[in-house]
Amino acid sequence: MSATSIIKTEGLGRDFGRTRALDKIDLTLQAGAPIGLVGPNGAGKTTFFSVLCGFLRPTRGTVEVLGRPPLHRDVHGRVAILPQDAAFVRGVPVLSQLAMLAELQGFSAKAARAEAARVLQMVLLPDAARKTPDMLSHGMLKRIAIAQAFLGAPEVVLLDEPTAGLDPATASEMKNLIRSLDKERTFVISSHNLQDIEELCGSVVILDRGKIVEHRKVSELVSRTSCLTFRLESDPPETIVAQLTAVALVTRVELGRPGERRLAVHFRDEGEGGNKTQIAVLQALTAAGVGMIEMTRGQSLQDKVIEMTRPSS
Amino acid sequence: MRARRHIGVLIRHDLRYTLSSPRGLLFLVFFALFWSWILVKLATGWAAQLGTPQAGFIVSWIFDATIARLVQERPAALAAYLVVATTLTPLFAMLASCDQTATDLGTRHIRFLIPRVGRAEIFVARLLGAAIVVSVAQLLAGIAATIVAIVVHGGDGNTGAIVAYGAEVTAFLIVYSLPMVALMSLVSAAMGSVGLALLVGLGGYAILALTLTWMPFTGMTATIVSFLVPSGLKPYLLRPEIGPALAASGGALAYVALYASLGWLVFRTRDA
Repeated sequence: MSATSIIKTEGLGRDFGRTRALDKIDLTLQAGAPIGLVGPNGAGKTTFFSVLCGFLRPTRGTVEVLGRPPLHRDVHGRVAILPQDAAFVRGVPVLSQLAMLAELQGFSAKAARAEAARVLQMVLLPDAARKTPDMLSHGMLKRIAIAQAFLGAPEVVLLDEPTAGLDPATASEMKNLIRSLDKERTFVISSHNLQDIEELCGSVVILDRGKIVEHRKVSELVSRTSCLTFRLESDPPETIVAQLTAVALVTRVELGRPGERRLAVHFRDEGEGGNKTQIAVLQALTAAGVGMIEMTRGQSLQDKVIEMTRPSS
Repeated sequence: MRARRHIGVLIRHDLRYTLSSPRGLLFLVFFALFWSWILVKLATGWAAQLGTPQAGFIVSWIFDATIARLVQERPAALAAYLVVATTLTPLFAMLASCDQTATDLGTRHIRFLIPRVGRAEIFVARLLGAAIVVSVAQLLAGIAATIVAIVVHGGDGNTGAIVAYGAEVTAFLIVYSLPMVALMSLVSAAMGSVGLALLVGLGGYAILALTLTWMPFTGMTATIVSFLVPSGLKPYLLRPEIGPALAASGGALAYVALYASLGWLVFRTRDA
């Protein structure tokens, strides 16, 4: 294992009965910029996190976190997780619960309460300290679950759907919080909100049906200079592919699935020629009577993930 | 060292939660009300009547000669308390310890704990927490029963002997309740739900007890079946002599080791 490798798996697999939730996962993640973990429902993201934290045992293969097996005592307190579906104890004030978790990380009783208050402040919920979980909304509980992941100084923070269920303003605050801390620790973020992943992460791992489809830098996946993506008023005719492919420098045309009303045109980026190509593409679409709602330079991560995890691909 | 500290933290919070949770309070109130009623009855006449030869004859007829001898030879209030307690200890102990790891697993609260502490520490802390609650409850009931016995029988100048027997009875009942706590560590880890753990624990125990009572087992079969659960030790605890009760206590601790080991095996390997 290299000095900066935080997570390493080899041939990792996990079955639930006959269902293969994870299959032959060979992955090494390095410390540094946040890493996104994305994929459709049932891709195995939560199972992967659960195996990394020792909630689930792998059926096959090996997994190391910070150079140790997940349940090793050396890893305790150095890896934190926002679990997707864990609940706090009913009837016990959240400050007491966070303080207990801090004590388990080595804080004294008094310091643990101060630490609990600190993380509640971080998630903008200082007033919730004396409230019990049943007195808080779903979004507030989510923020408190995020807060527990920031207790102490974990080196790796796994966040499973950190912004799901949060209102836009709070989600934005949580993203700012992650940004403000991503120099001190490595985040691995699983989310269906691919715009969040695109904004926050330096690289992304795409999972589909338990397998790794891609592990690359986000910038490489969402090339801004050699693609145009269109959101259309209606699904384009099949003939548009031939019309656009005939345009100079166009290398590939992708149609969205029926109902997606989407079109992506890839071309060779050759400076001035590239600009001419873009104009020619727009003219071809207009000539074909295809109505556009929006045009984006490059391809969004969402489009890329959809493309890569299509059942037919 | 770190493990001991983790266990200490978990137990402290566990006890605080038990004393403030509806389920913990329900157990404590139920336990306190029941024993208050029994002990008041013993103090206001039952114990005095149990010491008479006529009562000894009836006890011998309802139970057996050993229990009748226990009531005659030992302070009747404490002897009666022991007989009732050995019958109800499994119920109370199961009620008090049906949680342990069940809520942790059922609500997945354990996912907040596992990144910070070992599974063994969680299991041991929950087991010890439940054992402490049950033992303290038994201790308080034992002290109350001893006080009642002193009030009823203490006029004969034998207060020292009553206190000694009260301590003996209390210690035996605490030890006798521990296998039930360990059994519930197994059931709660297997079920992952408090309600289901209580249902399976009490239901299983009741079915076995009824089977033992009503089915005409003989010889070796009866011996083996009766020792599947610690109630097989009960007759030894109810002897007036201390020797069999000490042996039964050793047996109870063996049950604790067996059940807790099985519980750990289930908890260690199950998904969290």
